[in-house]
Amino acid sequence: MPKPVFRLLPASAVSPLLRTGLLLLSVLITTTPLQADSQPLNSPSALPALNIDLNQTSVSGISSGGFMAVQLHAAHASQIVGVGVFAGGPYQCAGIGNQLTGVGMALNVCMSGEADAEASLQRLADAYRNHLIDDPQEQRGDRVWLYSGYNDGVVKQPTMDALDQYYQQLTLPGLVYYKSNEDAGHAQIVDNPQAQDCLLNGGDFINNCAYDGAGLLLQHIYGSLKPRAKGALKGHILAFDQNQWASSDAGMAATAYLFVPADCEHGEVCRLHIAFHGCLQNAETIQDRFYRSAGYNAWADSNRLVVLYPQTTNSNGVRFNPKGCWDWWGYSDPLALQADYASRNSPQIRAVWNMAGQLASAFKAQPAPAESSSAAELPLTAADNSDRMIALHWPPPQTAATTCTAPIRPMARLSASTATNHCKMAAFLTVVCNPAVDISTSWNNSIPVRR
Amino acid sequence: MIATSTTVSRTTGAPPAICDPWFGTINEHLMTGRAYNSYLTWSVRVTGSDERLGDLWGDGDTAVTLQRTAAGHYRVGNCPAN
Repeated sequence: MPKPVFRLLPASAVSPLLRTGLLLLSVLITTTPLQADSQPLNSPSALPALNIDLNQTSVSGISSGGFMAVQLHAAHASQIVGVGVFAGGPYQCAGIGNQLTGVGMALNVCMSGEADAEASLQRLADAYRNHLIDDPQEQRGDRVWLYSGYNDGVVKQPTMDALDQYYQQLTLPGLVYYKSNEDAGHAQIVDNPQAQDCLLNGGDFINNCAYDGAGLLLQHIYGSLKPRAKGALKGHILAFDQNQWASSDAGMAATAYLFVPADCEHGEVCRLHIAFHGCLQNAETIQDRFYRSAGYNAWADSNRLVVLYPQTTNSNGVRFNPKGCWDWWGYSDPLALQADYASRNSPQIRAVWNMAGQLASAFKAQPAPAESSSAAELPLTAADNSDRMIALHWPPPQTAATTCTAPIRPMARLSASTATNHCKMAAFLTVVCNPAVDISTSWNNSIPVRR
Repeated sequence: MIATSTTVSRTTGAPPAICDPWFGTINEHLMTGRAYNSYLTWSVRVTGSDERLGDLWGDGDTAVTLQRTAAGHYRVGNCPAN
């Protein structure tokens, strides 16, 4: 079925009447049932209750969605286990002023590559002291995957460098992987020849860099996963009524989307990943392209992952957000001297987390697997490399591992920030190499785990 | 014991030379000083290179990528591929 064609015109180029017509048309387009890859998309309905373990939830986002992913992680760190960010920045980068000072900070500091990791860590500590977010200690042990193309012309790379520094302070060594050595523009990075060119800034901000960003971030968070599904997916996309969860002043759309694998629909225990689009990427602007083509669904289909795609709406009103960005500077709290956009109580975070709670409301705890006294070896793969990091993956142990008999042992010529017990809490490790050029490194191909 | 029969390996390296792109609407380039209003030519121009971006006040929402080539000097264009 051909995609509906709808192009937003500059606001100044159309009359108010025409703009109203276009808005109505956009609503029609975004709420008209669309065709899923394998099954028809439902018309907006209630959010289902599934057998989801909320304590295994992860979150990711691109651009404003990346900033929002960091905010949601900070607010609910006790239940979120990992975060992925394409071209975002550290917590409350835009400060704690009103929406006007926030816009200035966003444009002139955060997007211009002037973000300050220490300032964000201080704001995080202040927010916790004021009981607005979870204890930042809860982020210790969480897995963090970061991506910044060095041709990003929207959020300059030094701001993502600051996010790397921020998370290096919050979680454990080896749990942050930062990919910064590719020539990508500002985009969700995918491995899809039908997507636009890797270097572009603009368009739908989904770039083909022959690099499976969604798959790599999900495996960094959850360990080696089953290969992504090919061809028609067994799961389906559900359009649901977001108004039930978001207050009318939250700046969120009436309809949002959910990918539900077939196993999850049939009651199997599943996990939740929340994926935030960026500015100019909501369904009002690019229709179904983000929630179908950002790269998550094929991995989710084969790995019992439910993917929630919350949606913003574009607004030229007092909550000025014409590009449909997630709130990371204060527009959803427009009259406050100190806008609340990054706490558990802020309108968008509260709405999204309530949706997550509803999705997980049919969770049935599973009995813990029996422990074994035997030792085992897990196969190891080098999943990705950056200018100074190599990401190693292995399958999560099937039973609760209590100790590793040895850390991953890198061969000569590099210093590694390895720690002996990473294998019991994660199924990956980032090895940080010396900043010398062309270090070729090798690891033995298995990780011994003693239970 | 660690198995030693095979290895996995990757190569790290220094980051490539960085092009310095700035993407935004003409209004955003104006707000941040990357572009300026030229009342003489009734147009918006790029700071440094003086390339024409659009009409004065008419094209503010048009998005364009500029490259910074030196301090206070920009030109129109995406970064080249490696």
